[in-house]
This record gives sequence, C-alpha cells and structure tokens, in this order.
Amino acid sequence: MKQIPENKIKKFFLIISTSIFLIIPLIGSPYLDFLISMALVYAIWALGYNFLYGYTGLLSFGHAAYFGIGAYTVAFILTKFSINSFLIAILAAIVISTLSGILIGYLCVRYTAIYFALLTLAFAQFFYALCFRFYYITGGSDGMHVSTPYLFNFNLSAIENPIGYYYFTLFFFFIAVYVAWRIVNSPFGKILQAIKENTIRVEFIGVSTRKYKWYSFILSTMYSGLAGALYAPLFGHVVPDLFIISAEVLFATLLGGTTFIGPILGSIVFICARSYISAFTIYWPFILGSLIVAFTLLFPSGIVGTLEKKISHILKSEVS
Amino acid sequence: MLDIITTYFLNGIFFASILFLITSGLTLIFSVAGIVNFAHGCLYMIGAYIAAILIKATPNPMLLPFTFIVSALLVGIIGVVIERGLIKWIYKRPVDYQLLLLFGVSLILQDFTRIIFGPQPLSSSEPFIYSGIIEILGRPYPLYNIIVIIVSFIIGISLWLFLYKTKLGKYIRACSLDREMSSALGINTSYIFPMIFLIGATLGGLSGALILPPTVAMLGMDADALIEAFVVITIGGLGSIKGALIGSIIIGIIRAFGIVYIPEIELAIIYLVMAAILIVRPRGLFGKEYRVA
Amino acid sequence: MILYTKNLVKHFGEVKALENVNLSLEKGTITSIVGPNGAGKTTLINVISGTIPPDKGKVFFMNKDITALLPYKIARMGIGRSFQIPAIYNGLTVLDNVRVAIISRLGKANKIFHKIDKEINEKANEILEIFGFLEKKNLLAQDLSHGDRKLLDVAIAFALDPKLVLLDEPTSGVSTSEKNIIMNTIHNVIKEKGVTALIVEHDMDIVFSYSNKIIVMHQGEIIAEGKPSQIKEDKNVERILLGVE
Repeated sequence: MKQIPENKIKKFFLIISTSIFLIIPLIGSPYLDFLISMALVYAIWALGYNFLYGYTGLLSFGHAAYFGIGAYTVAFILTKFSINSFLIAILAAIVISTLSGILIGYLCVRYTAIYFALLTLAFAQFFYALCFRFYYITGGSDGMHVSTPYLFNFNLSAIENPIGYYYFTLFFFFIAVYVAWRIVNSPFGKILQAIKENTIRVEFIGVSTRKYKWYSFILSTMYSGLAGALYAPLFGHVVPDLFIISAEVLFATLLGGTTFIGPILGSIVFICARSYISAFTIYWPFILGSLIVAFTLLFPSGIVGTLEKKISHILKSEVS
Repeated sequence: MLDIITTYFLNGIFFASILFLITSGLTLIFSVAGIVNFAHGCLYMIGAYIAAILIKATPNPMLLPFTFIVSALLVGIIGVVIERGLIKWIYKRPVDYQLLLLFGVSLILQDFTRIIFGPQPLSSSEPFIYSGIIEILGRPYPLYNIIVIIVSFIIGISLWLFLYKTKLGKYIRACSLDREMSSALGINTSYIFPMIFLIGATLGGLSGALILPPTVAMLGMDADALIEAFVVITIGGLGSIKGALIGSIIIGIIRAFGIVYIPEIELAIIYLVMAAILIVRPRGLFGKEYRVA
Repeated sequence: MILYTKNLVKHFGEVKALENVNLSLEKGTITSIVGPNGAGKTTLINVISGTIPPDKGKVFFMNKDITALLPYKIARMGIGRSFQIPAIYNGLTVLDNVRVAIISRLGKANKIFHKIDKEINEKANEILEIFGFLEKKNLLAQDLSHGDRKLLDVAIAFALDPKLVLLDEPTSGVSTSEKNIIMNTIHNVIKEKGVTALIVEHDMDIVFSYSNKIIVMHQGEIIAEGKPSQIKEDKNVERILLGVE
C-alpha cells in the first residue's frame, strides 16, 4: 500500500478541524457553544503552558496565577472601572499578566526543576492569599461579577449572545495557534527544544539558557493572561479559586501530550470530561488527582503522543 | 521588657519545632529516596484532622498523649501505602514524573480529606487547655507550647542518634550519599525506602497533630505548610537535616516577631522572606555550587 | 599563543585535581593531553571551558582573561567543546542537533517569528557534509551508533566555527576501525579551518599519529610536554603511562 505523505494528512486534518470549529454554533445548542468556548479558552492556556513544559521542559505548578490575573483584570476593567470595551480589557489583561510573568519568571528560571515547581506554586498561592487579604477590592471569597463586554457596539455577553462570544473566542484561538506555530518552528523554538533535551549542551554552544527559559516563561504567561481574559466574561464571575487551578491546565496538557496540537486536543477532552463528570459527582478534584496519577504512570506521552506513536508504527510497518 | 521578648522568642521556637518536624521528614525522604514529597503538606493536614477526631474521642485526659502518637503513626502508614503503591514505580523516572505523580497524589489526598472530614474546620483544643499556664519570667505562657518544644527536641536528638549511632542509621546515611553504591554493597533498598517514608510521614503527621490543639484543622493548611517547609529548605538546603533545623529556627523566630510588630503582613511575611533569600542567597545556606547560569 | 593558563589550582576536598598547571597552546596546533585516570585532564578542560572555576590561577584566551567566565560566554568567544559522554540532543534529529549550534553562532536564537532560513540550513549542511552525516541527517540522535554519537558531539563543537576546540576523549568506547575514521575527520577539519585543538585521549597510537605536541599529566601536575618523538623517548612518562593501555 502506498504511503500517504505526512504533509497531506496534516493538511487534511487542519482543514477538517477548522471547518468543524467554524460550523459548531450553527448546529449546536447554546450550551455547546459555551462548552466549546470554554474548551478554546483552556486550549489557549494549554498552548502557552506547553511552550514552557513541552518545548522548554520546565514544569510549573503555578500557571493559574497568570490566568487568574488575566481574569481579574478583565473583571476590574469591565465592572469596577465600567470601561466596557472588551478589546481594551483583553489588552490590559495581557499586559498585566505578562508583566507579572516577566518579574516572577526572572526569579523562577534561576532554579532547577524541583525548586522551580515549588516557586511557581508559591507565587500562585501568594496571589490567592492576596485576593483574600484585599477582599474589599477583590470581593474576597465571593469574587467579582463580570459586566457585559462590548465589541465596538456589539453586545458580547456570553449569555445573551453565545454565538457571538464563541466566534470572538475562536478568532483569538486561531491567532494564538498561528503565532504559536510560527514561534515553535522558528530558530527560537529550536533553541527551546534543545534546552529541554540537554540544557547544559546549549550553554556550551553559546546560549544563556536562563535568558531563554525566561523568554519561554514570559510567552506562556502571555497566553495564560489571554485565556483568563476570555474566561472572565464567559463564566460571568471571577473567584479567588482561579489562582489555584493550575492542576487543570497541567492535566489538559498531559492528557493531550506535549506535541503541538496535544494541548489543544487535551483541553477539549478535558473540558468535556469535566463538565460531564462534575454533573453527577462532587468528587471532581479526587478524580482529577487520580487521573493525573494514572496518566503519569501509564500514559506519559498523553493521548496524542501515544496515538502518534501507534500511528507511525502502523505507517512504518505498512511501508516495509 | 525581657519577659515579653522571651515570650515571643519561645513562640518562635514553638513554630520552629513544628516546622522542624515537617521539614526533617521531607529532608529524610529526599536524601534517601530522592523524592521531593509534594504530598507532605497533605500528610501534615491529615495528621491534624485525625488528631482532632481522636482527641474528641478520648474519654480519659491521661490518654491524650497517645492520641498524638496514634495520629502520627496512622499518617505514617498512609505514607508507606503511597510509597509501595505508587511511588515505587517511578524511582527511576526523571524528576518531572515524580513531581507530577506526587502533585496528583496531593490532589487526591486533599479531596480525600474533604470527603472524610467535611469542609468545615475542626478543632480539639483540650490538650492545650488541660496543659494549663505556667509562669516564665513573671509572664503567663502555655505549658503546651513548652511540651511541644521539648518533644520536638527529643525527637530531633533521637533522629540524630538513630542516624549516626545505629547500624540501620548508618545504612540509611549510606543510601542517601549514593544510592547505586549502596545497592551494590548489598543494602536492601526495598525495605529501606518504605521505612524512610514511614518515618518521614510519621514526622509530618506528628507535626500536624501537635499544631492542632492551639489552632484548627482546616482545608488548605497543606499548601501553607508545604510552602513554609519549602522556605525552610531554601534557607537550609535540600537534603540537610542540620539545615532544616537552622532554617526552621530562623523562620520560626521571624514569624513570631513579625506577627507582633507588623501584623498586617503576617500573611505575606513568609513570601517576603522567601523572595529575599532567593534574591540574596539563591542556593540556601548549605547548598552546592551550580555553574550553569 | 592562542591560549595559556597560569598556575591553575583546583582541589576537590582532599583531591588535588590541578596543581599549578601552566599550559600554552599555539594557534593551529593539535595538542593531546594524556595521563592515567584521575590525572586531572577532564578537570583542566572543565576549567578552561568555564564549567568549573579554578581555586587559583588564570586562563587567558586570545589575550583576554576568561577565568571563571560563564560557559556560554566562553563559547561565544570561540571555544567549542565535546564531552566524554556525548552531549547531544537525543530527541532531535542529527540535522537539528547541528542547526541549533548554527542558530546560536549566527546570533539568530532570538528570531521568534522567522522561519529557519536558508543561511542556517546551508551552514548546517556544510557541517553535516564534512562529518559525513548528510545521509543520516533525519535520524534521531538517540538512534545513532555510539561512534556516530561521539562524532556528532564533535560536529556540534565545530558548528560554532570555533577558534579553539576542547575534545574530551573523542574516540573512547569506539571500535578501532571507527577510531581512525573519526580521528581522520577531526584532523582534516582542524587543518582545513586552522582551528587549534586540545584533545584528551587515552589511545596512545592516535596520540602519537595526530599530535603536534603532547602533554602528560599525573595527579594534577604536568610532568612532561613536548613533541611526540620527545615524549616517546621519555622513560619517566613510559613508567607512568604503563598502567593505562
């Protein structure tokens, strides 16, 4: 049997998936729009997270911090400052979360795996604590309501206009994916991959690995901020717990595998699974923890990774 | 004036005692088995919850000291179960896997705690109250705190004696210095590792049990404990019990005096200390040289 | 003199790895360092390349003091190195292994949006050709034979277009026939590009065939140095090295 060239398979897959994304609101219910919008938000978050984890090899346990910062920034701008332009809110969210990433990343990348993970966790906990401490600004454990965002004159309330919100999110998703694709395939992307494979060697070819780990960190926080910004009006409410859900983006990435599209697929599966499972059980964190354990032990390459290996096995054996 | 300072100082040593118990357990597990036990905070939390229940269930005040021992040992058993059931599969895997696995375990334990003990904080302050008040330099001070300090001290000495004066202890120290050499020398690591987890987890559970009477057991105390232990380790270096001791004392004292003089930043004080240390002395007091930028 | 060291001292606790080591290298020459295990050869390479700072003493490269500079800065100045255990990117292809070094050398590491351009690919292919990897360029580094992995490590060092290469046992663990192929390739590149080389080596045949100068180390000290013919005659050296091969 003739071997179908990899490129054609990839193009085919790309066209099909893009079409599916574009058609979804026309065939589904508003709930489906909400669900897939959420999945896209997590996919953006996971794409950014994967720069750091899949490509640079740094495991962070505190990426919810930047997601939360993005979400709260949007909440502040829309609700507290009554500026209802969604674009301004998103821009502010990205700026502030990226600034946080620049500062915190600078401290964190000086450390190796264990300390790095703990440090990132510590900062997330710090923001969580700050949220409660300044309850008179942030609303404490009750959180903040998120007012309706507007795109020019269009009402983009996720409740009143789920289809509009979906396409808006999809737009940013496509941009995020395209930018990520360019970054990953650039010389910079190769350096990151090399850092993951053999950090020391990269030093010896003249690259300051600390600087590049920092850049990678900053990129990931940018994406996290964007994701958080898109999340806030979707859910309509922001709570301090947003700062401690790092396990979710971690698991979505693990689930899908650390390839390029792995985190995207993982996020979609994760969001659907989560909404399904938490609909009839209150033991979601327990299940999430167990799934992380199971995946670490049994499927280190995630769904996509394991599938990719199986498929390339099949393709290779067919040729020979 | 001296009497007040002494009170604060004693508070500092009290905090340090608890921190030392947690951190030495963590350090032991890391030095010998090479695992950073991310779930250690949860063990501490579970120790506190179990103690809360057991104390209320103990009719006779004279039996109260045993509740602490039982709580600690139960947590120790949980530690061994986790080690034999899950951790033993990933000893040879890279650090990432260990961190991920233990992160998952900590999620499971957190929710397990919520499911079994409920979402409300639990308290059992009987041991604290029954111990009463004594006078130190003319000021009242809870005897309970002094007892904890003494207990912690005794455990510290016992740990030292065990590691440096017994044959088993020497095996364990050999393991921590070089895992591969030790198995080549015929030391049976497949019972050393569970034992280390037993000891480490018991220490963690004991510290939670001991902190319970003056405070409460509540969800989320695991994260705070883990981060404080981390700060201690940052100061004292990962893998050094001596470092854990000194780090605990420093953090304990800072905390005790910090709360008094600058109460607004009590929450942030730990993070500020951590940030300061990271900026000034990134490798801890007893850390090694790292050449790669 | 392209490189010289002044009284390098490095102790690891009780162990005297380097004791007042004074070394100088002439441009374009191949110098081999030999000596029994534990003589301090790898430590010397580590100190020169910035991996470990010396306790005392200095290292000068092209008349600049490079003592205890960070490794990446030293690499940028034009010193490449290879490792005893091949330091390559296992999960990347042979092509990518070389491309990463080229990217760094061309200063393109911070190009986030550009594609991997022609210049990078051309220069990478040049290196691949010199080292005979053109046909294997799409293989994953982890799938290479041991000899190829060692050669790839060396190729990466040369991809930096260095003025000085430090090679740590480039032929160790490799079969005798492969050894000569590897050493030949290395020798040709060195001569063609006018690179200076400092090579740690155990195989005395190779050392005598390819070196312009030989340095003998023992217990942290240089006990002899000179042309291969001189070293061959030296009875002292023979005694020390007798236990080695």
